[in-house]
Amino acid sequence: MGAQEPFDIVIVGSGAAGGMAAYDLCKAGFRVAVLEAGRDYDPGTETPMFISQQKAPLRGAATPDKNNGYYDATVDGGTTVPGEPYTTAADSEEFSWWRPRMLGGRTNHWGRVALRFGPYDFKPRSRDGLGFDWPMEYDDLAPWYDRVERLIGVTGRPEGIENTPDPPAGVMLPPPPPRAYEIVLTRAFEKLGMRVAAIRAAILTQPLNGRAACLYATACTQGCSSRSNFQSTTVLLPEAQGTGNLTIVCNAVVHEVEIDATGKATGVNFVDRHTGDQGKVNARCVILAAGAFSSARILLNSKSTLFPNGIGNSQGLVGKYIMDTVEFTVRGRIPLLERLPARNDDGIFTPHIYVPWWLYQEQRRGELDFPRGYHIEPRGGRRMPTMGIGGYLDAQDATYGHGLREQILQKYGSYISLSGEGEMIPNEKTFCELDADTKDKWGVPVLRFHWKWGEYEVNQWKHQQLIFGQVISSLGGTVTSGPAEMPIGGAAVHEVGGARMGMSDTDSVVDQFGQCWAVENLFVLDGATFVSSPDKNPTLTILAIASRGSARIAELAKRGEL
Amino acid sequence: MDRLPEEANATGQRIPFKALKTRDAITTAGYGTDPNVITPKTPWDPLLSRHQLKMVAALSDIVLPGTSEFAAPSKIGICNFFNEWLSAPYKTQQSDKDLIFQGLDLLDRESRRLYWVGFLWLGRKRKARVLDAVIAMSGDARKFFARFRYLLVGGYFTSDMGFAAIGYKGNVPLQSFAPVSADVQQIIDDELRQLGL
Repeated sequence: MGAQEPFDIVIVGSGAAGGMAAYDLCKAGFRVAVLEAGRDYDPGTETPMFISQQKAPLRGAATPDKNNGYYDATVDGGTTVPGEPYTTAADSEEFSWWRPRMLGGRTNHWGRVALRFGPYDFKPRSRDGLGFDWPMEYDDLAPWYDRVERLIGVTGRPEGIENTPDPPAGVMLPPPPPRAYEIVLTRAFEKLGMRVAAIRAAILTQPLNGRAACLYATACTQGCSSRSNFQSTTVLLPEAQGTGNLTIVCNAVVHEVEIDATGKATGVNFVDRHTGDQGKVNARCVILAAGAFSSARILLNSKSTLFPNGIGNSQGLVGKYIMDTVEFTVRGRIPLLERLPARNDDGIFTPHIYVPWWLYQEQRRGELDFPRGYHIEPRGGRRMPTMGIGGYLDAQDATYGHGLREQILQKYGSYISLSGEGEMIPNEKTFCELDADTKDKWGVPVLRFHWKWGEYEVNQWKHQQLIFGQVISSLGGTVTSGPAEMPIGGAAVHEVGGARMGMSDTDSVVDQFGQCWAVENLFVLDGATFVSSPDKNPTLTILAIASRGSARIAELAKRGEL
Repeated sequence: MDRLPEEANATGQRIPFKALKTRDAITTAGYGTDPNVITPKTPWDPLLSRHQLKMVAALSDIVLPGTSEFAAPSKIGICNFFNEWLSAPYKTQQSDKDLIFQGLDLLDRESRRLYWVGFLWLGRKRKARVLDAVIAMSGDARKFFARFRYLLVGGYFTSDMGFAAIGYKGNVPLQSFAPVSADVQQIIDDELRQLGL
């Protein structure tokens, strides 16, 4: 690569942020290189559509090789990436870091729930004195949400719910009608004072921008060969390539941003995953979009005379205030669902409904012992059988013979799960840093994680348990999941923070456009820039921030200011 | 690898992933981290003996008999499923192998104790009596029954025929997703009314 003309822009990572930046900047006429740490990946030919569990090893069950099951789209990853370890500090709570190694990154297997942050979410400290405010408001990002949603396609319906913004008319795709179990659950939610909303999912319920509508089959986490959900590899990268301005380099594991004597970035250094050869891509502007913690790691490993502790780290803020979501699930069995006639409940994979956080007033009045909320994603229905069917019978129950079959048939479709997705407040004890003792297979220092949930997260989790139990019992059901455990940090794979944005170089690593305070032609455009981690799943906001930052880069470059 | 995602996912859906506690190098004897998902292959060799396969078939058909409409487990390849599962190099499956192999031996021993011949030589009623005797035991014997049934039920209803047997109607392309019909809505309303909702 070193022999090539310098690119205008090099982007590290090809997922939500990298794909979005490549799309916008290639369309704006810049010559862009995208470096992806994993292999090339083509959803058109590699997606197992209309699977048969019978054909998969172990009926598709999860294994240490494929942590979310055989057909899950994750390539060369999961909680373990061969040759690329990470460590957890001895005094840390348990932590898990999910990484794939493939073009498009986690957009290939993400959950497709696409929620906008609301006005409160950008100013949490102003509201309750905890955490930090963003250097922007909802109105600053709203046009970018509009733009991203028009491009990728997101379902929804105007709801008028507090801190749950409705896009302008014409932006949302029609939501799918609720499944039978969702109608039942809706009545229980409403009885408990909640407002039920149509799901906001990045799945096409009608054709959009040349992409086909959903076929209402095949889990989105397997990817989609009909391009009916949002993946960087189906929606962003092909369009960017169509401009002729994009060069994609796969298996390029970037470990460092190179800086010249004047303090400007000249490009990035990488290792070829297969050969171990070192390489460099020169560019006039560098964008980090490697995934929040990976971007922070690159900054920390970019040490030079000018930046002995890594780029942007003069205040020690790189790697700090990392966050995840309090994602907690209760499963239950609701016998009345047995009596509903069998129908096809596959739908658009995600729930067709969800419950936005509904107790803002109670929190304002100080009636709850936690200040931030959660939304609920309910799942259930007569979905594709998995090996978990065997769990319908308690181990103490000795049933076999014809009675066994009767029980299975009777119970099928009567199970539901309620997942809370709750806000985590950033804290001083949750961060990552370079591990002085452990290096990856190419000799680059790895991250060591420190995780600690705060008291507010624990209280919120207890509230989730209480409420989910109430929902299930109000429908005459019983909780079937085992004793509740506080979720493991990182397990929601809502990886954000580590190079947060802010108002000045004393309180942050980058500005509201992702521009690094310390190096003007270096931008961070992924979830690393997040200042808070509201209950809303992060992908849509990563896309909006990346798009807004890309526009800023284009503007500065055209003014000659990079 | 003691924190695999819970298999007993009672809704048949993706559930939030629970992290693996250890991060040791993963086994190279499995299908790897990038298997071909379009034309899946099982790379490990099947380990079960002829006798063990016959035992699996016989026990499966007692635990989950076929019906006039849907075939018994032994007729839809349940032996291949068990052979693949119990031969897999992963920790969960390795532990299942030990438990199931011991359990099959125990069935034979119990059969000889009660009826002087091995399990395979018994008629259906006596097989059930031997199974009842094993279920009545505690410890690993009881664990064997529960785990065997778990694997059998999973293997059976995740088969192509099992999808039909359980009444799964999805995995087919649709042009649109229809709302529930008026009669289903009526059933829902009636049920909820009884609950005061």
